[in-house]
Amino acid sequence: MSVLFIHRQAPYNNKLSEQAMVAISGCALFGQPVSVLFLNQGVQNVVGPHCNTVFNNLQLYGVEKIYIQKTAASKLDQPKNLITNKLPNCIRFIGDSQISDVINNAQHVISF
Amino acid sequence: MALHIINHPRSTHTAIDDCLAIARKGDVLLLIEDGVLSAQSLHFKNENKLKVFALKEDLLRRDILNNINKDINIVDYSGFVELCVLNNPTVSWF
Repeated sequence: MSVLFIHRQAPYNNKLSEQAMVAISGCALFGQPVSVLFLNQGVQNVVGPHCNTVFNNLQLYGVEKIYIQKTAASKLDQPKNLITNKLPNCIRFIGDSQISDVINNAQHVISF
Repeated sequence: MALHIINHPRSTHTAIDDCLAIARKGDVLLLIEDGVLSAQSLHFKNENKLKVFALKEDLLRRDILNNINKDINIVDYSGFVELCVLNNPTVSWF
């Protein structure tokens, strides 16, 4: 049963962002094959000084694939931070057409 | 094909725009709760050629049943369940 989490919440907006990360790690911890897609404002969770911590935590809990919306990442004020960092192999930048494939290939999708 | 469920209007949330940006032809879009406000003709452009449905009960409560885009299909709660059964996965955009 593959589960895809769509994360669209900026980290500073409300508590949904934090709750999303808790749900993702909880689902992965219980052995489900979990993928995460950071979309639109959600991309802001994976930039800045804490991005490596986020990636390490997701990997630690066993998240298999992390997708980042390419168009949203390019709109950031500091896209270089995201691109120049040494990112783990499980991270992929994908375009909008590939995102629909990722969604359609998942058995369950949970959106925040 | 995926079923995308939207429960917020375009005027206050980005959910429908985020959904329309990545949905592909053949996907199904279902508008419920305040999301049906996007079904009014002036508020909705279906550039992706999705199959679009709006929940009848929520249209009635907001008194816009006769004021929606002609390309949008109307479903009741039974139709809602049928769409959930026929399409996989289901994505609820909050």
